[in-house]
Amino acid sequence: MSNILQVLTNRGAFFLFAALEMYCLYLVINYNSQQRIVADASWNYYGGIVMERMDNLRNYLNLDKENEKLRAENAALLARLPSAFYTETVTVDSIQDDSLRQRYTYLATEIINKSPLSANITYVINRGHIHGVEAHQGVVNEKGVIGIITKVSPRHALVMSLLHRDMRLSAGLRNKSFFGTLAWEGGDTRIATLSAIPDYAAVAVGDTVETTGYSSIFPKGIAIGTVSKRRTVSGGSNVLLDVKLFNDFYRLKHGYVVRDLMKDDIEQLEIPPEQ
Amino acid sequence: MNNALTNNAVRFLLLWVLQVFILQQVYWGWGGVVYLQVFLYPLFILLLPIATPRVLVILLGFLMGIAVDWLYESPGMHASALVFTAYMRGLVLRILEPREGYNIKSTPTKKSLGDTWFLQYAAFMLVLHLFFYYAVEAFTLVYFSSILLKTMFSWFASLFFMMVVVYLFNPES
Repeated sequence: MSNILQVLTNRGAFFLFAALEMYCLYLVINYNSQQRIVADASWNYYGGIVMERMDNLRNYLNLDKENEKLRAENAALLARLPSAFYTETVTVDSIQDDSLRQRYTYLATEIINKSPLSANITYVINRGHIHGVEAHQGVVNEKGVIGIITKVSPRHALVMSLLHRDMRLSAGLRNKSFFGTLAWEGGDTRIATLSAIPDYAAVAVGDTVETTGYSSIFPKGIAIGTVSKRRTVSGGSNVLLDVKLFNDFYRLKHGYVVRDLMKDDIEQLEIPPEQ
Repeated sequence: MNNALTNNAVRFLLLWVLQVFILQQVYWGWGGVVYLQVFLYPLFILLLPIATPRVLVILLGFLMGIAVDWLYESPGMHASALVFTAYMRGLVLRILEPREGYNIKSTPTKKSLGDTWFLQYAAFMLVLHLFFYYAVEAFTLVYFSSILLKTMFSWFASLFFMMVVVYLFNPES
């Protein structure tokens, strides 16, 4: 019992000491000009540091939201690029405002799941048909083509990436009129193959390969990769081009779903698939 | 006990008068900075009876400090230093405790515990007091060397004065 009392009195002394020191500090700062100047300066200095830290932290916490916003902005900007429009200048004297009609829209989306590390990469994205996503729409990002939507659920969709054996994509050479079919033959995940290019085509290593816009999946001019090697096929009049892809398909985090608003319009002309 | 009360009350008054009316005039320095001051008033805290409750020691330290501050026109500075010194008194006494322990009714004086012991005690307490005082005066540890220098000069002078006073009066309790 006396021990406890002793501890209490010792603590009491400490609390009294602390309280009196606090009071003295208050007196020192309030009634001594020299110390007051130092205190004010320190307060500002350390306050500034603390506020800066807090601001950094808050920025960090808001990063997700900021990213979301930026992607939405990107989608809006992409939709304003010339390749996203369908030119309606039919006659010379058409009204300027009406000369460009929106053809492609972009929907920002996040990749929320990936197939295991293997061949035939697929992704799941967090947009589905309640957002207007449908099968056979393209998915791109700022570097280039990612893949094509194959299955859609209300809120999610499955994307078949370029690196899938079933993937066939109409692709051509930028600023040259040759085009062929892009496919992935397996093996190296950085390389796809562009076939059906005639052997007289002047192709140089380093030429950019882009989408043609002949299907209603991708607009014209979305980059895919660069030519890294030209391979001749024995007995054929075509060459195969190895295309080094711009995208690293293992590291994708987000993309934009491309929606062609004139798809139905074009499909009316095509032969309906046999039942 | 009554005797001790009167003794300490008189000592409080005399030390305060000595400090604020005479020793306040004693200072030395260069370049507009005072490096040497003589602080005798901590002697009051030093000479409180060993059995004084710690809380009371701290309260008396605050009282003495504020009284000195009143005429030094530096509210809080001496008080904070002396409160610190008073709080540390228990620790210093424990460190310097003789092998046979303290006589619980005694007072830590030169007469009861010896010259060497008292010199150690005073030196220890003065270092704590002066360092704390000059740290509060600068109010930042940026000028640490200046604080140390001031502490050193003032420590020699104050210790000298303190020992002179103790030898002159040789208080018993």
